[in-house]
Amino acid sequence: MLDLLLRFQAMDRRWVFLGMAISIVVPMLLPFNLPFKVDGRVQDLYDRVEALEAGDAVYISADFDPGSRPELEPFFRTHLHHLFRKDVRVVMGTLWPTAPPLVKPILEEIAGEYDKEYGRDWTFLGYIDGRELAIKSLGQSVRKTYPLDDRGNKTADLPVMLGLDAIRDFDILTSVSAGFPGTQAYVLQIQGQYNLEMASACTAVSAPDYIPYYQSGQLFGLSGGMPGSAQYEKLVYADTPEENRPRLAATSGMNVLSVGHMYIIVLLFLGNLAFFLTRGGKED
Amino acid sequence: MKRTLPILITFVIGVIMVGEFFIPHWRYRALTGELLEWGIILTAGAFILGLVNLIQVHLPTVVERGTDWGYKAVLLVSLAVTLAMGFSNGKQRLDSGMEVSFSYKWIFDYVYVPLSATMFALLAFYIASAGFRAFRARNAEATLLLVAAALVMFASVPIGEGVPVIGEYLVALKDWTLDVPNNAARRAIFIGAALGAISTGLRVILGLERSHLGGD
Amino acid sequence: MRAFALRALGLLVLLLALLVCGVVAAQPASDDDSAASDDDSASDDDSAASDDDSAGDDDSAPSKDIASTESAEVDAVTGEAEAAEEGGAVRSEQWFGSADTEEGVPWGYFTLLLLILTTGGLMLYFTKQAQAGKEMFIRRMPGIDAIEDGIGRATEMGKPVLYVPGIDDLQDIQTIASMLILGQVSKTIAEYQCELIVSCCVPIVREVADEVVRAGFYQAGYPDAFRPEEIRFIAADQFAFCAGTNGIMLREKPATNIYLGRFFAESLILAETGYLNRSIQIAGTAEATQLPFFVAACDYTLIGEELFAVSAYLSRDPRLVSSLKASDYLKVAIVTALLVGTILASFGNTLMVDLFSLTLPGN
Repeated sequence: MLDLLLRFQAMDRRWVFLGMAISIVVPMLLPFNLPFKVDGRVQDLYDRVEALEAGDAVYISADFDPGSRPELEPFFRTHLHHLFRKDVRVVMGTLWPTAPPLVKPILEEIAGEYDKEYGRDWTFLGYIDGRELAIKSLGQSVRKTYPLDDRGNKTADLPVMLGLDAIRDFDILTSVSAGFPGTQAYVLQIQGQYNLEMASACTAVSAPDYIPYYQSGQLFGLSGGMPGSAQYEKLVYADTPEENRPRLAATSGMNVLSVGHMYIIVLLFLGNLAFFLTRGGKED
Repeated sequence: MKRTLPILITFVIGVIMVGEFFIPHWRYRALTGELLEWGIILTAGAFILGLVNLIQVHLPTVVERGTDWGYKAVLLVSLAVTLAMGFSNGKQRLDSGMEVSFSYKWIFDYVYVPLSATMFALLAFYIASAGFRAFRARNAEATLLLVAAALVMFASVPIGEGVPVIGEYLVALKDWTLDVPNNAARRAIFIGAALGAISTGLRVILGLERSHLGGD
Repeated sequence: MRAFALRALGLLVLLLALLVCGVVAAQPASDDDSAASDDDSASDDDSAASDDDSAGDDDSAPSKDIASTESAEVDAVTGEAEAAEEGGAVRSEQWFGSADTEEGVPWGYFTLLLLILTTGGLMLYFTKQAQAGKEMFIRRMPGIDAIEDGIGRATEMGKPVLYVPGIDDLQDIQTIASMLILGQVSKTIAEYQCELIVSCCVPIVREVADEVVRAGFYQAGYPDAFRPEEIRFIAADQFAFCAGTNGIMLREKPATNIYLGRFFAESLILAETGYLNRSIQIAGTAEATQLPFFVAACDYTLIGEELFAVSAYLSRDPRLVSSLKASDYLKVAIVTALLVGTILASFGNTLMVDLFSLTLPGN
């Protein structure tokens, strides 16, 4: 028995990987739905966006890449639906070079669903290099930072940019951020200096880092990882009939997340049980 | 002067950029805006240096059929093909059509996206193996770490929320853990790191730190 | 010191000239889209922009007939509304504080300026004391001691040391700190006649690392031992860099891995691969999200501000150690302010909050 426990503690990590693979694949093949509650941080984000009026302007910084798509793309899609539903002007830019091919088609697709016109209701400014320098430059002048938008049109001439130049001219800033440059840089360079209302959707690993910003009021809302995206989906589509809803990727992903988390917890429990029974015996 | 000039430039530019936080006057912002643009241009220009370095490091090994020359050849061929695709379609991005070419998009959609997602997905497996190996209740602190990790993981997902009777209390405890002790620790780390950053920044600006210039 | 001051003055004059050029370049042309110049300085104009006015202006169709020339004094209400309609960045005439405030400067700006000047002054003061021969205590940090032990281990095993300065750009302070440490580490590596591989994610960091390591080898007296091909730019993409660095670890099997700088999701992948290789791993970052992964997978982890103390600790240069002392005083001041502020705020007094606030009370 002791030998078995020692071997369990020192087992090849590939068994751990196999267990993880099974715990992810099985719930994807056999989906189930568990109810979940909405976090106060996500509720606040939804409420503030819901309070926007037609003609208000939102700057979205869509800073994620293929790796963080499962966590952030659902929020991004839902947020666009939410904004276009409110007839809000959407100006979007990105600081990640890998983001444009991901975010631009989504923006065009969802804008099309609401019959929103490019240049009048929305624009995509494209990618700008420079990271924090670019963010500082945005703070001073969006038009100067992006003299042309992604389609090569002069930013200043676009009707959607009417009355908008410095980033504080916007009503809110949404940072959909998978890392750096992202939410933290915007909080430091923009929110702190210009006191602009700002929300963030971030990966789950970053969410605990940004909770202090939410508590201090620097962020009016925070959506953390897939759970946050799923909660936001729940709020935005609460009144939408099921047949009219788009595919809710985060909501369906929550089941996989649940099983994955349970697997790790069980592994930790068994590992510690073996550890105690062998009194800290030989391990890897 | 070879060592003094960089220190002087660092000092003066550093003071100007620190001053930007305090001086909102448009004339001053015009100067700092100009400096920011120079910084953005330098950052973009440095990619050329990176490209040259990649070729310098890998090409000799391929030519001489050195160790792992095959991998290096794949890297160089991928680099060349992607660059060629990007450059050959670069002009398209300035036209009103604004569509990226099929080939460039193909590389992105069918090579880059799956590879990037795969690398990120590795984290799930590595977290499991690292957690299994490292999260042992050896002492009080380790036990606290283990319990907190398990609680937050469990209560963050619908399974934890749905536990009868205690589910909502677990969620409340999880929220408290994130909002109170987690915040306290992170704020402490933020403040400490920020003060360390101020100290390092001031050392560099004042010329006290010179090892990046080649020592004494 | 006098020569330094004179040279600094000369450069200041040069930059003043640049400033004038920048000002001239910033003058709006008549065809530009910049707004009519307006004055939002509270000291010159008592009238406040009314919310009703700006709300009304937002809804109305914009006038195309706005002259874009400067005007000496523009009423703040209409000037700001016109600027908003035209979309030009509102140009502040204030020389201190925030462009948003019309009624005064928040106390936070004065407090921050005082703290920065005090810290800088303390640094120079303690530097003078250190140069006069005063001993300055610095506590032992096992993680930093392990760097030299790790280099020794690598030398004995005949394997290289892998140094990863993070994945962020050179302008990040953690990367700067990492470069400063790399200078010390490369000097030690040269003295031990060990091999060093530096794996960089940003091209310009690679160039600086090249110079720093070259200087370190030169200082140690082994300039010929420096091999520029070991300072490698891997890829600008996070996971491509991670894959490339993992490849280096698996092929070249470094005995010691040093991760000092800013890391993100790749941290655990790097550390786990290094663990697989049985390398000694020393990590240091101020990125709180990645610290748990480094703690779980590495032998030594430097947390937060310890990263910024490494170069002083390794070099024992009196100037650097004295700057640590100055920043410690700043920490004491901040913690004291936090404690006093917490107590006062508990009784409803917002004095400390207002002292550090960057917005005016009530905003």
